[in-house]
Amino acid sequence: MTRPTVLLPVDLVDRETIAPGLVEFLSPASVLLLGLHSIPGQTSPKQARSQFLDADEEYLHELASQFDGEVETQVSYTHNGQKTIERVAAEIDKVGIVILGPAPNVDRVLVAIRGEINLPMIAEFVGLLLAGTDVEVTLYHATSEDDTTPADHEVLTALSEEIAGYEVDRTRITETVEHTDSPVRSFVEEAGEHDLLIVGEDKPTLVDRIFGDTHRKIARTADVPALVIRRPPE
Amino acid sequence: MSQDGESTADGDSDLDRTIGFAGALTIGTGTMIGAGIFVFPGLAAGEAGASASISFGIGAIVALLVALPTSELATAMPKSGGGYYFISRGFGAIAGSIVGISLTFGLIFASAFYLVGLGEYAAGIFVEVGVIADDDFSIGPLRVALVLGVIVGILLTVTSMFGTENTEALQNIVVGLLLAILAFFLSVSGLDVIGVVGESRSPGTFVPDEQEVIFTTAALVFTSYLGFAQIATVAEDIVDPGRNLPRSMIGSVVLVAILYAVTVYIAASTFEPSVLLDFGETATVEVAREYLGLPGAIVILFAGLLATFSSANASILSASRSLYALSADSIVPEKAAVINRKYGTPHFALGFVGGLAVLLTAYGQTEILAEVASFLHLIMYGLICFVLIAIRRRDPDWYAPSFHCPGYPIVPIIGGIASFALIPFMETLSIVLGTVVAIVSLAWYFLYARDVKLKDELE
Repeated sequence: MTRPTVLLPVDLVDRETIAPGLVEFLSPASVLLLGLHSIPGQTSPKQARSQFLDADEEYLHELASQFDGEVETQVSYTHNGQKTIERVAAEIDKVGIVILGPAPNVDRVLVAIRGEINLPMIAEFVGLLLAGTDVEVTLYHATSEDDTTPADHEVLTALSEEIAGYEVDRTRITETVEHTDSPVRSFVEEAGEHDLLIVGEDKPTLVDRIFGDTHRKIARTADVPALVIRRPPE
Repeated sequence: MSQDGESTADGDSDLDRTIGFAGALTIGTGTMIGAGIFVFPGLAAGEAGASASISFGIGAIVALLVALPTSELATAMPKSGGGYYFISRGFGAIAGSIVGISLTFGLIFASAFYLVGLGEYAAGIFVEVGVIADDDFSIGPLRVALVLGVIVGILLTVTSMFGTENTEALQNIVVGLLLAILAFFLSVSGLDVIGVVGESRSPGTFVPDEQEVIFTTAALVFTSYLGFAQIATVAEDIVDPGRNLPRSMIGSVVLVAILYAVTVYIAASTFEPSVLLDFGETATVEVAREYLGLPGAIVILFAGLLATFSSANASILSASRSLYALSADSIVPEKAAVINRKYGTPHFALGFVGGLAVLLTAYGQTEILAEVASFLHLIMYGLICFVLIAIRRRDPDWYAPSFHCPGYPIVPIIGGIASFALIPFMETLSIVLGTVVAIVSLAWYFLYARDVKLKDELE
């Protein structure tokens, strides 16, 4: 069984830093630090690489040295950072992509559930990251239906069970089902009360492609880092 | 803790090759087409009548003979330096420096030529729609066309310095639109000329009194083909280069040659050579007016605007890339092409190249500069042909082209001789100025770069 990998893209042009809480929280996973050096269309990646590689690698290794666990680094000079992230992620079997945000400490994480998408993979990530810590987790499902169906709760309970299987005490897991007319807004509010967001990712929708990724927007608005867990390749 | 120092640069692996056949064809066509699809047909037909088609044909043949050796070298050395890189590796740093430095200036001259052309088209549109009375209208000491050229030149330079996204997509749209306009204009007027619509027109005198005029015209219009070799400078980004590189180079030369030849034929069949000569650079616009009225004239002016814009942009970027290739070999100071960290673009290189092009645009006498650019390109093209022979004979270990020039060694020999043979037909002044630029480049080499050792140079 392959170990889940956390893909952590870092902007090298802005010398982006990783919040200390996030470093600590992610340390149990295999971390791939992907340094992205974005360059405009007219500059050749080779030229940028020959000029910046030494300094960029040095900076990335400095970031890598903060992690206790297994860390790899990779630098990419790219005209399209998002595309590079996609390409690198597609080569990894079990992968969650980090969207950086401020996190002095990670004590409470919010796991957002949409339907039954990706549940075993989410459980594996949450279990791996929480095992042996005191971090608390809220499993959250927002619904715009008038009545919650028993199915809504069943999904959360099943996920709790699975996470508990990774040596995470049930008392650390809270289940919340919320009725709301605007799931996204409630989700952002809820996220604001946590230190980190974990979401399962479905295939990008047309809206995502046109207006940019919803997860990214939620993470930005709530001002917390996020871990977006990829659907396993079919 | 384990750390893997692995690093990849996009461009290293096949996954990152992004330019296909169409993309490469667009780069070649886009760089060439602004070189005067609307300027030269009038001038050339004025000089040589319908025989100017033959002059364009001669130019195309020379370009094709050079395209084949260039393709082979580019698949073996996919470097952004293009011609400079091949020549410096095959013939050494002196030859390389002369070609590399003078070509950088050649590209700057060409940019200025396109910017002046762009200003003329923009002013032409203003005249047609009645904003200004005629294009002698001046702002301060400069004619309005030059002012417009200068403004666009500054804008282009500044926006490239800030870094532009989606440049390829934009270039594709511009070239696509341009080809569509041309195809429409040529079909409508072409049908008229051969008599399907309206009465048939006589195709003018085909062979002029002196054969020589065909060759002097060929030398004049060779500027039209500068640019196909630019495809070589993006060789590292081309998918399946062994196949797409030669096909796109040849394809773009053939495409542009057909467009020119047809335009010239139609122009020559519409007006007498003396009338065309009077129209000068705006002859194509007058031809469009003849067939399609005022809207036709405006659309052609607009197309000219697009064409010169596309070529000016491509030339400024090429010149700055050519400075980078020189700086990578320490022929010019490394600082010249250093990339600004924040914007990711070479600020000095772009500022120098764009700034000089803008100054030359303000000066306005750019036609002679265009021919100087042609002269310098022809020298480079000739040397590229002969360097192929030199490299093949030594056959160094690193030389593994995925495309082999057909008809070797006849094709490169004829290509090289043909490139040099066009030079005597140029204006004496262009030859003198071009030689001066080459001597200045040589002087630079001896003053600054004499002790340079090149990597992968032939022994």
